[in-house]
Amino acid sequence: MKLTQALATLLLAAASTTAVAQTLNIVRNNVIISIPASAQKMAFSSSGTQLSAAGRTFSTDEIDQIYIDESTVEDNTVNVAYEGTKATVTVAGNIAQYITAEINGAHVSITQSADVADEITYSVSGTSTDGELYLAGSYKCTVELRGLTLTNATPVYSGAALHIQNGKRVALSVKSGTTNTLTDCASPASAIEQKAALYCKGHLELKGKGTLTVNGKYAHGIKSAEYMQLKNATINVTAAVKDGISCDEYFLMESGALTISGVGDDGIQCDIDGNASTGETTDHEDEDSGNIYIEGGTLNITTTAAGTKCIKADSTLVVNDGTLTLVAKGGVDTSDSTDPAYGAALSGGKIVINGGTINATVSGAAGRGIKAYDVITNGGTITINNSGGLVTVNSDYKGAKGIKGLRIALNAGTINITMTGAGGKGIRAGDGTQSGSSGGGGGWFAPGGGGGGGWPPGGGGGPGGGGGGSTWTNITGSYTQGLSDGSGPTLTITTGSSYNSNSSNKAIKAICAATLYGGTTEITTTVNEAEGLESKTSVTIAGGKHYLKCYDDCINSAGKITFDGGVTVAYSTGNDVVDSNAGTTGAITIGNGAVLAYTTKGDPEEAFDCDNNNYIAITGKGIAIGAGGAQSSSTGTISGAAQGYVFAGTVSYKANVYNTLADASGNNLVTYQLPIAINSKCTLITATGMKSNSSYTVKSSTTAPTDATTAWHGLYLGSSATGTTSVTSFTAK
Amino acid sequence: MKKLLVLTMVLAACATVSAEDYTFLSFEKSDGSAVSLTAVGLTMTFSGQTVEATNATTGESVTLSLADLSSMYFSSSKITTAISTAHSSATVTASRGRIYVSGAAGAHVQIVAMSGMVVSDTSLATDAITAVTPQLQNGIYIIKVDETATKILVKQ
Repeated sequence: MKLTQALATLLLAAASTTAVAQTLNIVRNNVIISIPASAQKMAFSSSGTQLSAAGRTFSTDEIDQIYIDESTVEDNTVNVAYEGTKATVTVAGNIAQYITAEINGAHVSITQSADVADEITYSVSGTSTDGELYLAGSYKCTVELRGLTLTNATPVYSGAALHIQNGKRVALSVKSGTTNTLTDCASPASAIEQKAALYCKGHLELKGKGTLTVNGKYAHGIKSAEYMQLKNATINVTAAVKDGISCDEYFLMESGALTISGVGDDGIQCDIDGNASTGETTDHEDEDSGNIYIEGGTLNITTTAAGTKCIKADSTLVVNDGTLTLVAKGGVDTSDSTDPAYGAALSGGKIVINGGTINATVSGAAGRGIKAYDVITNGGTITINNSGGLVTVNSDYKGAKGIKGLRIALNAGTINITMTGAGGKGIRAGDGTQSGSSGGGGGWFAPGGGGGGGWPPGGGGGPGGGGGGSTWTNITGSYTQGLSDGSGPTLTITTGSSYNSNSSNKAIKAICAATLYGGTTEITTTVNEAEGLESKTSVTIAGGKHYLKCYDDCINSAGKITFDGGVTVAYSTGNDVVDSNAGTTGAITIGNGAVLAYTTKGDPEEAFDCDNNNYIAITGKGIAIGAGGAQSSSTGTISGAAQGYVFAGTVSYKANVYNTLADASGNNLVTYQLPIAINSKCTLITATGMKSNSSYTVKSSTTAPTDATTAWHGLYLGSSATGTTSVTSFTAK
Repeated sequence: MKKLLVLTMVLAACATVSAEDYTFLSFEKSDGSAVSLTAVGLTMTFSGQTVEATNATTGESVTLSLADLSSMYFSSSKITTAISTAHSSATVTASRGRIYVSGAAGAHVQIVAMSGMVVSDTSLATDAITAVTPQLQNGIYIIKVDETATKILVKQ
């Protein structure tokens, strides 16, 4: 090791002592052509009026000076140095023949010819309060920012501080340890082209470990006419009249830190460049998708203007990793009355979240946390705090949304949505043609019922309904949670206490069918008409564990509601628990799932309300325990029930005791606990193994089951616990 | 050991590449003659039909007619054939502490020490070899024959 070090030291010393560079510099109007001593002869013309050097011919009367120093010339480089009102351009001799540079004060224009064979690196540094750099060419290049502070006050070539008129790949390297600032002209002459403080016609690849701050005073902060990539660099867009970052083809953030604020339009916007999307391509080769990919890094984006989005993809927005902190303050932009634009944190044709951490704070009226035709979550942690209020748009009331999509598939991930504004919907899925009043408050439309009448039919409303007296046709879209294997997201939704009778709060509102395959759901609503899970089409719970504590209906549908898997506990404090308006057999179907439903509202609000208990179907070997009031004393009969059941008469449940339903042999069928005392009437009880004409008891105990295979918000499955105090007994139908 | 070998080769290569040193910039005239000046520190300015090359560090200075120049290039050694002159036949030599000029009839000859002191300032009437200085101390002197300058080493 010592030998190695010694040898290295000697050789380095030798190298350093012999490394004397001589460079001949030809100066003309602050453009310096630097020719290394190793270059070939420089020839004078016969008249002596011209000097040929480095592949170029100079008129000797235009040469300001030639000097020789000991600087080292790095081939294929151009250095641009700003100093106040002047700039100096130094061109390596080997590429002098390909470079045309023009300097006007500190306004610099450099054009590289199409004959360039190797990539040229432009190294830019210095400070000017009235300067610019305009780079033109048609071959890929690298631009290095090495401590550049440039403001373009009086544009000469472009209004941008850095304008790269090169349609090829442009690597913009923000060198490590340097701080750079670009500011464009705030009021350029009409003839001046100006799209951004930093403009690139080609593919802009931002990299390096330095810091670049961009102030867009006239249009975008950063504009790339083709794709844009970001890796490592710290980019701050502190101001823009339009978008903070605007690009075409696709945007890819691999790593680094991106902060955008003070913008007049979107934080990041990516559009398709051509007429049709190529979709994502292998290694993004020749991709023109309008997609945005967040692979890592840190993003902090704040938008304030009406209708703006923190991140907006023309096509697909994919988040695979990274930390996104998004603040969307913009309300509704109604400047185009036929197409109002809503503020949002994330917006795209399709949004796929596979990982990362997204914190979205939305405060604009009717603002959206995530909005796309298709929203898919396969992972990550998504937190949406939306305080946006209700607003009238085209005579219609529009509330804020946590997630809005035509097709929503929450396959995995941790999703927390908090809605505090009036009329807010945690999730809104599907679409269709709405007719009739959208006002709500008058009850829920029931097919054949004419709508708007509320419950009970003809009864003039009451606290029920909440969806408005509208009907939906031509329904499209889908809403799913989890996958068929029972896995799924951890979803928490809370709606706030603000209330407006013109539009009710909902945790989940699906115009389309809503199907819950798996995962964990916890929903809380607190005001009148605030339902937990509402579908205008149908609700199917096929798996997962779900807890809904709602002021209004926990689960409501104009169509059928089916429990065919999973575990559901639903607790309403002001209305029905499970409310189907399908008005037909199977309106509420108990398949193979387990559901504990209870309401403290009292008559006529029920645990399972489908207007007629005869519409309830039992098709599997599931569990359904209800507690609450009743519409009438009629108990009803379930035709073709797959197992025994009962519509229990009056049952007085005590709070916080453990009620065990057992067969005549004392076998535990299910244990359940209610957090509040309820005098229940005519409520469905059915459980796995129940047989008609067999006797069953419900006994309570103050001891919690300890051996349940499933324990979920007071519902205990697979336990051997027994009760001690009789609650009720019955013979199953 | 393998690392040592690789490191040695890399460093050796670096040393070799860096070793090339061009000390002089030489001006070649169309008549084949040339003049060399110390490169680093050299500044050239063009004025009309001439170029003035001055090295403020070494004190070298030469004014050349552009029409007479064919090229300039870096060289690692001084071009010994280089006797620049405004007179195509002018020759400057040094011998035993004195400087001689020939072939420069009608030329104005000025000798300047590196200290900047003018040690001789005269005009020649003949092309014959003429001693233009008294006995000089050892050193480098700048000789200007009309507008052309070069330097010469004087030894006793």
